[in-house]
Amino acid sequence: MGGGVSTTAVVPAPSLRNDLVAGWRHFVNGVRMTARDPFALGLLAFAGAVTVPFWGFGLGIHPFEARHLPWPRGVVTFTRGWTSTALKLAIRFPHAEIAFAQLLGAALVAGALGPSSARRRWPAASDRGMPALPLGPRARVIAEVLAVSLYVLIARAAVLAFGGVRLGRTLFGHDPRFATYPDVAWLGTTLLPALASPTAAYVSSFVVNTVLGMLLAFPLVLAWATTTRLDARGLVKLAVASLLVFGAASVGAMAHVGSALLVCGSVSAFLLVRLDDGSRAESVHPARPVGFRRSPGPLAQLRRDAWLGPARRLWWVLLLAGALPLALTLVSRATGPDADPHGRLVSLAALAAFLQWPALLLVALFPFGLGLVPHGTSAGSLFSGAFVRSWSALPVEPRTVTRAVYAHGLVAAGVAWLMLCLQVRVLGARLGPALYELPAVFLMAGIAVCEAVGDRRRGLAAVGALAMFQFGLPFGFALLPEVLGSAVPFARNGMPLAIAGYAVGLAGALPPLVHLRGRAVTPALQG
Amino acid sequence: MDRLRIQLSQASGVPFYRQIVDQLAGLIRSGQLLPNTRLPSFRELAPQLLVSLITVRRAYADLEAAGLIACRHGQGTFVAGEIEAASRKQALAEARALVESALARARQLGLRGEALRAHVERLIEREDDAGARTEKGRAHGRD
Amino acid sequence: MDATDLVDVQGLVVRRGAFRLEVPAWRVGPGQVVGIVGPNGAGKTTLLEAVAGLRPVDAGSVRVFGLDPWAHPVEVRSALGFMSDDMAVFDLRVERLLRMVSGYYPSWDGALARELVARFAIDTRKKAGALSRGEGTRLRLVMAMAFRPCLLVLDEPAAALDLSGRRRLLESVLEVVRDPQRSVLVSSHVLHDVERVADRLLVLHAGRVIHEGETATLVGEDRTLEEAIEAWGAA
Repeated sequence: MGGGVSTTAVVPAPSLRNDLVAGWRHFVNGVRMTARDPFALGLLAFAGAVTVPFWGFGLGIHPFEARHLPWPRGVVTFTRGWTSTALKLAIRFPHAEIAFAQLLGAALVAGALGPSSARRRWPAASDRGMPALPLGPRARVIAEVLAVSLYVLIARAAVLAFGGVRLGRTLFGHDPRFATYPDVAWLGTTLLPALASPTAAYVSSFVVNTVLGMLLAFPLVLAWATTTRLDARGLVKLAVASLLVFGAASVGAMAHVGSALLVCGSVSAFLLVRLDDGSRAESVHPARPVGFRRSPGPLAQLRRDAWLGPARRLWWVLLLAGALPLALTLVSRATGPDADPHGRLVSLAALAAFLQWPALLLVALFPFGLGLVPHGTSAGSLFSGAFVRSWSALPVEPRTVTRAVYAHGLVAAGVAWLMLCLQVRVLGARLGPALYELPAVFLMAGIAVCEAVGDRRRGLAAVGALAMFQFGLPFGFALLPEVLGSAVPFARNGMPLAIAGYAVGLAGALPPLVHLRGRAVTPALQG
Repeated sequence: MDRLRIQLSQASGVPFYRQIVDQLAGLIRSGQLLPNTRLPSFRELAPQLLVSLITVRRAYADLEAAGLIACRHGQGTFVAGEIEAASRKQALAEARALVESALARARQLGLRGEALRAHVERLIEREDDAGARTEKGRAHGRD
Repeated sequence: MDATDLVDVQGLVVRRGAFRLEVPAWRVGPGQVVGIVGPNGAGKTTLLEAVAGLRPVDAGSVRVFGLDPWAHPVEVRSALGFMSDDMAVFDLRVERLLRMVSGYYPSWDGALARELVARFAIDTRKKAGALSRGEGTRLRLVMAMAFRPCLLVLDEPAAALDLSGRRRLLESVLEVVRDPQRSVLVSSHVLHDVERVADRLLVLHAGRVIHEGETATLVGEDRTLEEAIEAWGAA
């Protein structure tokens, strides 16, 4: 078309073909936009690479024997640190931590949806940018999730392809008994008959990890992407979807392509049927007469809110995530082996302790009992500095607020860590892995400050350091001996790992401290 | 003190202070605001009429100069006790100003000098005759 | 500087990227409503943010109540109410938000706050993040006015308000200056509202002050503020 002839828009007839074409266009657009956002690319590459060991396990497929693993027999994972601590205790819930890690990975991927669905200024309505595009909301969200999943697939394929030869033996086994995955056996026999056995097995495992893994991950990412509000309703939907997916995996439904497709399709349909676009009618609370409080002066009030605010607003979290697991642990300790022969109480207590650590850590992100991140923020607009800006009209110095945020982060994360140590002690495990977790306290406080002030670079660096420290280093240290072979006598004790962990933690936790000192013009004040 | 019945119009082209002066003067002259009634202070009137303080201040200053209102220190602003004389004085001043501007405009348009004087005298005679006839008619009616 | 001046600006220069705002001299005394007008990008928001202590100045000085608002935010903002229609607020329910904010102002007037909430028809059960744009603006107005500030600084308050909202806004602004010690700075595009209620005007264009003085003197009697601005080339 050319020649400068402008035409008015035409109303197309409604048809499935139009929907598919529109969806495809949106998918391509999402791919292009994500390619232009380095943050999203980094996030997706990280999610893809780091979850490489997981997908196979989550599917319930034994890496060495390429067959389905029945519940509840577990797989020994190559983990260190807190996961192994909990693992030693969670003898009856072998998949719990893997499922948890997978869920986090899916959250990361959904977080990268930022660029293709930019945030609107008034998040009261849908937080999807440009809701007036000629595209249904369901087709839209599917296209966006597929777009980011494509990058995850590419990242994983790259890791598996280039690192696979070295890691292949570790991840996929070099046992000559290695069976080709049954569902793709025809691939080996029909398309690649000349391939030698390890290569065929490698190819089949590659396919398993990418194709089947995507079928597992897609509903999880979709669940995160369709949760516009992290309130009770959204969390319930998320929990139900996760339980369905992992429940199916635990009974082996995800180990075969046909059934995996069925599970993926039905869970996705469940998520999309009542798509929550955020424009929900506000729940009607009874109108209370507006009450005010006496002011003891702005600084005194700030101090009071900083200390009492979290307790006042988050008491239920402290009860549920703080007191309850501890009570469980004490009870399980008190009851003898005769009252609990299968050790179920112990495992329950262990699982509770396992979940308690991240839950209490998150309290560090709620200074004054207020959320740092405003509702409806997508990952692309994190670290916006909205929190300190909310205080801008009040008669307080921004530096005071920043320091209060950091202090709260330290105290909250510190209490969480002390609780972890206590739990580990009472449950009778080694204190070492709990001690390894100490830098997480400072990292959380640093992340909280960066989010409050709006420092994207240092905030992302701190998040990266946390991920590295929590997942990357333990896995690396576990896999390194396998990769380098026994030529390098890599001791499996904790010292090198601890040193590396503390170094990474320090590198991430120190830079945000700069905000506590003075009052620079925060980048959030521009525009 | 009730709200004053003043309606301001932005589209009329007349400045706000002028509208306030005219309407208040009208209320006072027609007797709807009795002498020695307390008027709202300009700080109270401004939010009622949604105009600036300066506007109200100016209107009150003009009304005071015309003798229609009086600001008593410490007690507030009141409608003047004696309106008749002040009102008449102001009305005469207004009438004089009208005549002046009419004559000036007539001169601009080309009616001047002898022709102007003749026309004006004719008009005055006509008015006087009309007035005398009504007087006679009234006298007749009385008979 | 007159001892009673609320705002005293001398030789102010504020840079924002390529934009540069220059105000050589400007004073605001008590008991005044000052309208700040000019086209988009003229620097109105920058000036008001500098007065409220939300933005540092690159040269010159701003003194509010005799203090530098950037260096003494606690003292200055205890008597300065700032409102901008897109400024961040905590995402709490309105009643909770007002309750929280009330603790920071010793001069908070509960009765006035309730009256303003009723006058501006704000639903106190809603969450601050779920309010529509007009409701959000009205909420921020209430937060800025309820503690009886000496100086009320409003940045485009009428932008999202409907007719009745604007009337109530003007009413509230003029009620603030019933106290001859208090003043209001308003920047607005709704020029016929500004010329109604503003005693003085500050006209900005591309970062420069074009006119400053009494409204009636600057605009004259035979034209509207809009026509005057067009005549000054500041449209």
